[in-house]
Amino acid sequence: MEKSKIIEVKDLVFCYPDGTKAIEDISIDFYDGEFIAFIGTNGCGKTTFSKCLNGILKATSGTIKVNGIDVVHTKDCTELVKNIGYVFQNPDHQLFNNNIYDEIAYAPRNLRIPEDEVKQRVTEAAAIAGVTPEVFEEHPFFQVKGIRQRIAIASILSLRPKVIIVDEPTTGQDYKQSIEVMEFLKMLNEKHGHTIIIITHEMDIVAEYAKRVVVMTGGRVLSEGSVQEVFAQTELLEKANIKPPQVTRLAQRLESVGFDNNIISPEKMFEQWRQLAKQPVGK
Amino acid sequence: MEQTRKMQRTIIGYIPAESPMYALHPVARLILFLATGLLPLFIEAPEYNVLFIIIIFFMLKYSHVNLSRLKIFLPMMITVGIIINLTYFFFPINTEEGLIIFSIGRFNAHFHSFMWAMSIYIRIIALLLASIFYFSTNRERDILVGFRTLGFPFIVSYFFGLILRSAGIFLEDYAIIREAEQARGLDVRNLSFGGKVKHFSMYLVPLFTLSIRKCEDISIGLFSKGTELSGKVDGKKRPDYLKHKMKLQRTDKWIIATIIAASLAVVYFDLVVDSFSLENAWLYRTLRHTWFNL
Ligand SMILES: Nc1ncnc2c1ncn2[C@@H]1O[C@H](COP(=O)(O)OP(=O)(O)OP(=O)(O)O)[C@@H](O)[C@H]1O
Ligand SMILES: [Mg+2]
Repeated sequence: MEKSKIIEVKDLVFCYPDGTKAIEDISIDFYDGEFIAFIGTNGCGKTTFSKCLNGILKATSGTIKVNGIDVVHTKDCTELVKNIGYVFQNPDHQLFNNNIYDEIAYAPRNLRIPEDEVKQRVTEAAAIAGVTPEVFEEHPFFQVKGIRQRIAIASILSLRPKVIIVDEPTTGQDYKQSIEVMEFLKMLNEKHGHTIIIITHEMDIVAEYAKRVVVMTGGRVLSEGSVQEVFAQTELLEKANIKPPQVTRLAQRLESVGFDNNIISPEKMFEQWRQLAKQPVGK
Repeated sequence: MEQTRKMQRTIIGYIPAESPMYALHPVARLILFLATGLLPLFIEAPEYNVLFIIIIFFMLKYSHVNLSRLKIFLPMMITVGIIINLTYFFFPINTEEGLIIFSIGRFNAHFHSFMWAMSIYIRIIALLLASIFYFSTNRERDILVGFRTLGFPFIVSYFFGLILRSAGIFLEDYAIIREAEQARGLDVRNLSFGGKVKHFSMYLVPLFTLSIRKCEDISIGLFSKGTELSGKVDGKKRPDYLKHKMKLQRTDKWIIATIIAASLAVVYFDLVVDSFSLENAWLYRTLRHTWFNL
């Protein structure tokens, strides 16, 4: 089945006002329904790139199209936010209403959506994000970090954007919370058909959840492809200072005895080991 | 990362890294600021202060500050002007002369009050522009080195440093919050003026909560480094890395000497000769003559 393009980026360059050229030259396409991870060292331009994608930062040159909308030149930001949502790294920057209900309702109200539909959207977004109606009256600021993050995501979900970008969803969270956030994004991707882009430094998370990986260094895309393809490129990853997950590195070390170099899960490793163990010794 | 045109981030903006301002020692810059900002406060005559404002504009231009950024201060300048004029309209001073420009109902616009409002307003604008100039051409560290070299006590420059730091963090948070808002479909351009004001108040919640959270972090950070609020460590003077790296040059000394001489001159002419009082001002006398034939 041919998937349709949802984001088209061509010759993108971005400079900050102080002259830092954070994006050198990027051309890449993303497809409807993908689950993508941006990886790369600190300061390689992941955040800048994703802010360009949804028009928060206006590209210095090049073109970006999201669902056919020209992100760089459009004046109508409401049309844009309906298509692409961006969840900031720190939830505290994006919560400014007095209670959780208004917080989630804030974006649809900006789009002048009638109040009864707003209500429906809030209920739906909150339910998906796991925010229960009992806390609707509470102040978003005084929730624990995991909940604040969910409220931040719910407040974007109520826009029902086709693409959702989440900047470092698991940074600073414990294992359980990380898994919860990631399972939640996975559900949005699989059940609700949202295209998900995450930015992360955690390769285990990438291996487990992402379908496609974009490796960035110095404001460029160094490599991209399926998770297996990318993690198999040992030398390239070294250049970008990225270490594949432990299980992948173990398999790569054992390549000479017959393991594949693109194993990304312990289950797959175990399966291969079972197969190899069945073969006669010496072969 | 590659640089296109190298810019230097200052407290409230960017100026090119090769701006002539960076050739001056921080102390020279601080004294320049104090002179351009504070001297107008001693001078009542509007025409001299207009001269100061023109000088500040030249300095802004010379240091390559992006003048279009001044636009954002315009609403504030206008509001201040309106408030001062209204205050002196409703609560006039020195009314015994009885010179009235116009009246609304039982309120009279007195000439002296009007001129006094103008004098105060221009002085405030000069101070404001001087501050904009100083904070657009100095980085946090320039300001601190200036303070330390001038011999301010450690605690003063230390607190000032913390204030600058939090102002920086505050502005950064503010920028991100605005981006977050844009990501949720708010088009600020479509808001009415009242809407904008109401809207600004919404930012205060996250801004202050973030500040409080960060304050706590900073105080814990200071505590864990064993900070003591004293300029001495074990009885010896606290060393200062940056202060040692920057030395006063001949130009700096000339500038400082000139400013001090000019300041003394201003104080002399103000206190002894009384050249700068409002009543003696050229503008005051000319307007009085044209409007009232006195
Ligand atoms: N507001 C800004 N002004 C100037 N330069 C900036 C600004 N924000 C980021 N940069 C610079 O742009 C480059 C890319 O930054 P960006 O935040 O996109 O990196 P990142 O990949 O998201 O890093 P991290 O993993 O640390 O989040 C860096 O060199 C950074 O210093
Ligand atoms: Mg980032």
